[in-house]
Amino acid sequence: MLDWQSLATYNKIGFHRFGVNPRQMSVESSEIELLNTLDPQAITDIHNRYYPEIYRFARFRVSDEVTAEDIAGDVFMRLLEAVHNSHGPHSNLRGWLLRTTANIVNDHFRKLYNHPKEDSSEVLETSSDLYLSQSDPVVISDQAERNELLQSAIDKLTDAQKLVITLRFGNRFSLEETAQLMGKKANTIKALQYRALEALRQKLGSGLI
Amino acid sequence: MNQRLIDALERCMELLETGLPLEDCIKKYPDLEPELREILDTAEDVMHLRQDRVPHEAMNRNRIQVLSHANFLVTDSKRKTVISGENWLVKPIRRIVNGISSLSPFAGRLGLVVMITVLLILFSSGLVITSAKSIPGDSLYPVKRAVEDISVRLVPIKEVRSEYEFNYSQQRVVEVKRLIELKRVQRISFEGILESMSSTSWIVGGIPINIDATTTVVGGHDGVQSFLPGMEVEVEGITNTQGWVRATEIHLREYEYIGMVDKITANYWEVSGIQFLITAGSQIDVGIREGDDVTVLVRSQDNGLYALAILHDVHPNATPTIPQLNLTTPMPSEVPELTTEEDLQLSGILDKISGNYWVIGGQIFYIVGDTHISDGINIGDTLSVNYRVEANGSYTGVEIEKIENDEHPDEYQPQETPESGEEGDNHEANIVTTKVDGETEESTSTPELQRSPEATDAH
Repeated sequence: MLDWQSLATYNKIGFHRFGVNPRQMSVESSEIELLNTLDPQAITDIHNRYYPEIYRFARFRVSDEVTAEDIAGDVFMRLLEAVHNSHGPHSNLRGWLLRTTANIVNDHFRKLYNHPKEDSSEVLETSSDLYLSQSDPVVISDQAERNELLQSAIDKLTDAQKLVITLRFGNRFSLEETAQLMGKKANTIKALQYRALEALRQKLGSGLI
Repeated sequence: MNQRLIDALERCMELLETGLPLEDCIKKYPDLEPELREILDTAEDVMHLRQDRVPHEAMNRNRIQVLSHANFLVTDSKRKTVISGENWLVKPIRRIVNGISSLSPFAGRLGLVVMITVLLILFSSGLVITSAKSIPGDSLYPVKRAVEDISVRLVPIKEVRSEYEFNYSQQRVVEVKRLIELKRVQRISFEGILESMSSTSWIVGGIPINIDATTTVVGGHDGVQSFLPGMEVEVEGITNTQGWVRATEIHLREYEYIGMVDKITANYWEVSGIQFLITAGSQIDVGIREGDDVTVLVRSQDNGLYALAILHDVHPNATPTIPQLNLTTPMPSEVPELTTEEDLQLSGILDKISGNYWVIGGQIFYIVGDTHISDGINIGDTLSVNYRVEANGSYTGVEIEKIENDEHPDEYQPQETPESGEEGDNHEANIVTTKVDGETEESTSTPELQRSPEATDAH
């Protein structure tokens, strides 16, 4: 399981311990303060600032754009509800948003496994029709299939490994940023990253997806 | 775990992000090449999942949704602040439930159910009490009527149920009077005794009713001619600010019908072509056969005509029996033994005028062809009655006169209930019974009445 406790601990501790820019922390604190009043300008700023990150996080994990959009939208709705019910973030807004995104993505896959779609080969066959106007639909289709396999493989990693892969590859976060968000040391993140890629290699190589 | 490999992977990933080709990176770590190549191939595949493009349309759409939802929450917060009075109740309950839940989830749920039940009982009790004072047009009035309806239905004993219905019927009259006092315009419906009637206005249960061309009169067999003072009617209409009710519909609820018995069945009797439903409460004289002339005391309901009583129309053999009239007046058995030839005297308030009998002081007096009745008598007047007792115990009015209270306001005491007389016999306190055309056989017990000129002048 993902060590969300660490993330929570990190949220409480704040940025100083991990060498985060105090100015950034100050900006985020004032953002949260304004967010708690449900100030429209503050909400707009927060949305503009974090929506791309949240969308990329979701899009990296799910196979289609619309689902990623839904997930990103849901994250902000949950943020408002949490703030309204006084359960919103106290210090680490970005961490809160990404953690919530990860939870929603996990829920999405859980539902997907509980209610499996039709055979993926059929889906691909059908979806290939959409690319008839593209220059090389077969290639695109192969890539789409490869991506689905990869996403499926990622979903079978541990929660910590999933998070490291998503933050590093999906969001292009640096090692330090990822370490900050997960409340771990950089070396731990490197090790997690290595183990995650190794696990993916094995899954993709053996076809155990 | 090979730490060098882990570090090399991280370094190569950084270089790949800058655009350096994979092979160039691997060349930097020749001793790790096979393992590094395999894992970097996988990393390259994973990088292909990345979608840097953010759909701005979706983003803008979502921003609008989020701002709209925020606005809703702000409005909702303000609304909750306005009705924050509920917090004095909700918050302590929530704390208690949370406290119990922390001990046991089951106990928490059970506690919640018990609390909700208690609150519902308290709330509904308060609602019922509050609604009891409501009048038509009030928001709680439907609750009051529903409670009344339920209470009537729940009473298992018929007599008690009838009493409830009677009380609630009286309540309707009180409500209409209150509406008139408040000068409220409201659609109403009530039942009462028709006390007086003219071409344009009637008085029912003490409430002035305006009759016009639009008023529909329902009941009886001769239209409005069937209506006589003393009959029970139901009025539907609208109160107005002038202090009366404009009647839209008047139903004759209780009246008399005289005819010949055509058919007798267990459920209904047919009298001169009209069917009357028979219930367990219908009083029927013994020995009536098809072809006999009868008087039917009819109760008109929306679902049909009910026979309250069916009496032989050959007076004086009929013994009148009207269930709802009784109690405060002497029953025949209470009257001292008298010979049928002697006239007696009694005074009381005129309760009801019917076709062939009047109810005075709660007692029924048959009216026959030679009964002398003075003019100007209305329901509610205090009357002096000379009567005789028939062989079957029924009373026949000989002479009925009005006692003019206004002339001797200090001398006349209205008839009181038996319980109010503390001295001697209750019957004597209320009823003046004298032997009129012979020596006095029974004493009078109301000195004021004895001094009444009408009482002495009559004979």
